[in-house]
Amino acid sequence: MVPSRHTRLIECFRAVFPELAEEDLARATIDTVANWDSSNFFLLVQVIEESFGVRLPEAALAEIDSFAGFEDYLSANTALA
Amino acid sequence: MKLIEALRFLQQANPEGAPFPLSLVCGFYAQPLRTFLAAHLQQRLPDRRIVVRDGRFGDLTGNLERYLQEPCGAAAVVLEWADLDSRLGVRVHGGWGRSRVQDVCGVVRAKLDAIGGSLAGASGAGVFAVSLPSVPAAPVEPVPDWQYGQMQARLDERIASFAAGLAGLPHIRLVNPARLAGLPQAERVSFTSVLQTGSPYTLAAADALGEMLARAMFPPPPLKGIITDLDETLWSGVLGQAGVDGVAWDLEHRAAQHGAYQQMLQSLADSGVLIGIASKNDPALVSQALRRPDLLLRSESVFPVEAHWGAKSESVTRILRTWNVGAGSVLFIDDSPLEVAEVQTAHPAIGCRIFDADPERVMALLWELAERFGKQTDSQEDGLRLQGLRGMAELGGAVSGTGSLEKVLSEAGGVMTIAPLTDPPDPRALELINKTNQFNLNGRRINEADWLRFLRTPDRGAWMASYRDRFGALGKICVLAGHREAGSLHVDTWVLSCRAFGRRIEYAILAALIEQFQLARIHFHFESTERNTPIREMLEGLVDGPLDREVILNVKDFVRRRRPSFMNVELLYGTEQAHASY
Repeated sequence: MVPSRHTRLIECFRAVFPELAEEDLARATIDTVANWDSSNFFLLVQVIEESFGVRLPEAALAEIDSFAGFEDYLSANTALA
Repeated sequence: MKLIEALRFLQQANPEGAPFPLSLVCGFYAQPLRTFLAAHLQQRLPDRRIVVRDGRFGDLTGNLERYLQEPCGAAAVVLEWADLDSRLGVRVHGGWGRSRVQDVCGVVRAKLDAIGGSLAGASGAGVFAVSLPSVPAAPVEPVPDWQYGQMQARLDERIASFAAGLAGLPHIRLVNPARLAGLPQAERVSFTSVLQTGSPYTLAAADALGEMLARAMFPPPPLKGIITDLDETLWSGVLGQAGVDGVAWDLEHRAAQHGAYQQMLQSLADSGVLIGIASKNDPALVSQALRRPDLLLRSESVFPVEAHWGAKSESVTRILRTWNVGAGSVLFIDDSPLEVAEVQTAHPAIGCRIFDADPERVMALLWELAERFGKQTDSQEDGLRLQGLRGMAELGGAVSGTGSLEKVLSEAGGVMTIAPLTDPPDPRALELINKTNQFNLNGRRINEADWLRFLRTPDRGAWMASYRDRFGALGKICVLAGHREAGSLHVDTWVLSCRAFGRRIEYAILAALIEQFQLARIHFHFESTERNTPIREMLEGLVDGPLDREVILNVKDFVRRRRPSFMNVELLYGTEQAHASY
């Protein structure tokens, strides 16, 4: 069974922010994650692009600053459940 | 490897593992190359924890200078055109056009000269893996794609000169940029990433480059020997039918691919690779054929030759015994699938290749041989390996003739020279430590960074011994390293090349060190491995009871139980030297 979009996104966040507790991954935002700097943000973007096979446009990335933001963008722009 | 897999792999590293510092020296934004490089290194050093340090964005030469002020571990130096002159990239706009070509090339030349000079002079700073530009330079000079423009020609000339100046240095490992350039440009370069983050690579290219850099720092050990068939393999034709003059390996006989194979074997033999022959043939005919003056593989480079009508697997068994190497270090090459299957069944660890005379397949085989047996440079020891094996066989023959090893050794005129390792150490020492399996105190492998750190630690010492006798020079064949403490020597590393077995060199080096340092006991940090039976048996013969991880040998016991070596020993220390016979 193909993992859901949410599950895959959790995996991406876990890979980049291993210090986050399990329950904090889906609630992660730029304000709650100490290591959410530009370097890790771009790493996260690359992991998500690779995992979902999409390219996240710069204009969209300028608006995204949380797990929910990525999830909303992917919901609107990928067919995966 | 996917990026998420690389991140997970690094997170699974043993948190208690000793850190291995790695510096990524570049001028671009280091991710994701940093992650891939660390993950590929972590695969090669599973007991360590890779700690990566990178520098400042846009400051390639400054990052290199800072690293050289405080070198540690290993460093990957990654060059891209835009880091040599920002006009060769697309992020900074300093103006393009033909009028700028000379200036751009001058800037690149000055930077490459500075970087090359720094790297060449850093022989004591550990290993540097260096990659040359793989991202195309921006079209500063407007020329059509089919044309080799003046600027590109001059840049390529500069980078080739830079690489040629570094390629032969033992502390420099250049990665082959052609390997990365083999990826189509779209799969290699991401200009979106260049503009968004400053990283020039796609994930696939970063993964490939990271793997190459890690491999350059920790190359897999090359294989040691090739056992080849003769008929329809080393040459075209069947010796027993065509006769000595009827077998061929030239264009005239449409057999030039066999000549190329012979050339390759000779080239590998010159690099110290062992070449043996296993052929079902008339031995007298084989002997004549191998003496043909136009043979491109010289007969003196081949040892031993097993030519008879018995099973190939038995020939392989005898050749492996003569070479004293494991089957896993050897390739067997034969045109007959049946023979290959028979050898593979009897020797599951041996690598087997069917020689298919189709020129495309022969060329693929030759490239594979270069990959599996190639190494950065040849050493003096490579040239002595075959001589040592012939000497070993001659020694065995002499012992059989006289029935007494003692008598043969006492008349062999053996001379061992023991010299302390200095900084930077002879690279042969680390090669011996990391290649020797049988006479190896604990099987531990050491990387160059740790080896340098060990040698630079106060009170640590390491010695390397070379040996010669009337059966030939064996070269540098033994390394012993440890530290001294109040009348004791603690040995962490002790290896003796298998080609030096049978001379009792192991007893002579201990005797020399005991006398030189007036030792009362020696502590060996021993670990039993699958293959270190020779050293285990030697130690068991010197001490009472089963071997612990710390084997303590009292000098009184050593003197009582050691075997005589009958050789002269020169022990060098500083500018002094001592002579003794053991």
